[in-house]
Amino acid sequence: MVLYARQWLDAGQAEDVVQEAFLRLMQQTNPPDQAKAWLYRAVRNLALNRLRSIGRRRCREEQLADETPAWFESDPGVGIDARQAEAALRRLPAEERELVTLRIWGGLPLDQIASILGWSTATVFRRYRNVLQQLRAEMEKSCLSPSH
Amino acid sequence: MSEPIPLNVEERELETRLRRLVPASHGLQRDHLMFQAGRRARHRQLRVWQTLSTVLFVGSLTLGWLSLGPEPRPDPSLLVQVEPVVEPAPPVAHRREPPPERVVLATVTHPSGYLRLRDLVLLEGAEALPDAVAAPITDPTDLGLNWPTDLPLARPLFPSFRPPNYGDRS
Repeated sequence: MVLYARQWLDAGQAEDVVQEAFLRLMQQTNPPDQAKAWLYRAVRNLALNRLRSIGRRRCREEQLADETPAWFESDPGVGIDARQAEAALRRLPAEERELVTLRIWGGLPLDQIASILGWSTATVFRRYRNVLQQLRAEMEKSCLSPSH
Repeated sequence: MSEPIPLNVEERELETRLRRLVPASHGLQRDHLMFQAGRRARHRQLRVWQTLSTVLFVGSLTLGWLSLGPEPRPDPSLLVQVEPVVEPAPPVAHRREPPPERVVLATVTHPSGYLRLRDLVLLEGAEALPDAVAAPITDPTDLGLNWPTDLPLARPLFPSFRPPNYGDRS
């Protein structure tokens, strides 16, 4: 969930937003049916509100990339380079990056992702497949490039 | 875990490899989070009680001011005159008034038996009737008026009419 919030905010603010979302969930007199989807939606709204309030632009994310901690733990045993995957994710459009994060690391089903993003389930499925192909192409390209 | 969706082999392999990536550790602590949640809940409960006690305090002050303050002038249109309740007189046994004394009007009483009896019945009712006694055989036309028969004038029409005195005969 912090990873989801870090798409818009730095690490410290992402943690604040996630904590705020949990506190709001605990203050609910009637707990939501789908608490996980409710939390992701709350994190999204809070992160976007905070992003608007501080007037930060998304183009600054690239500048902060080197200053902030990495998105993933570096573990050679997983068979994928964490830095490379993070770079590929950052190059994705924001909505598609959000979609991948919700699906892979959030573990949400397609219908709940559709309700969070405001799309239809079929659209979510179609775009998810496109994003996976994009990511695979990006990672293959970066592996073949001489700089990496 | 989310439900599987139809993907080809390459897409599923990439998804699996990405899922193995562990997000970077965060600074969130569960105990701190629960403490913050409890403190917020306490703040909210405290605010409810503060609001409730303030409302009750203001209400009691208002009621006290209304009870101790000058009485408002009554609306004259709403005045109601309350009259004292009059105790009903205790029931008194109905005492029959004694019948008035028998007034015997001598002027009315007629020396004749029939008229005297009629007068008595008119005054006292049927109780004044005497017991059945054989009535004396008399002339039914005799009213008991001992009119002088040698008068030149005709008999008067009314029994109370007294004929004028034409002088002493004696």
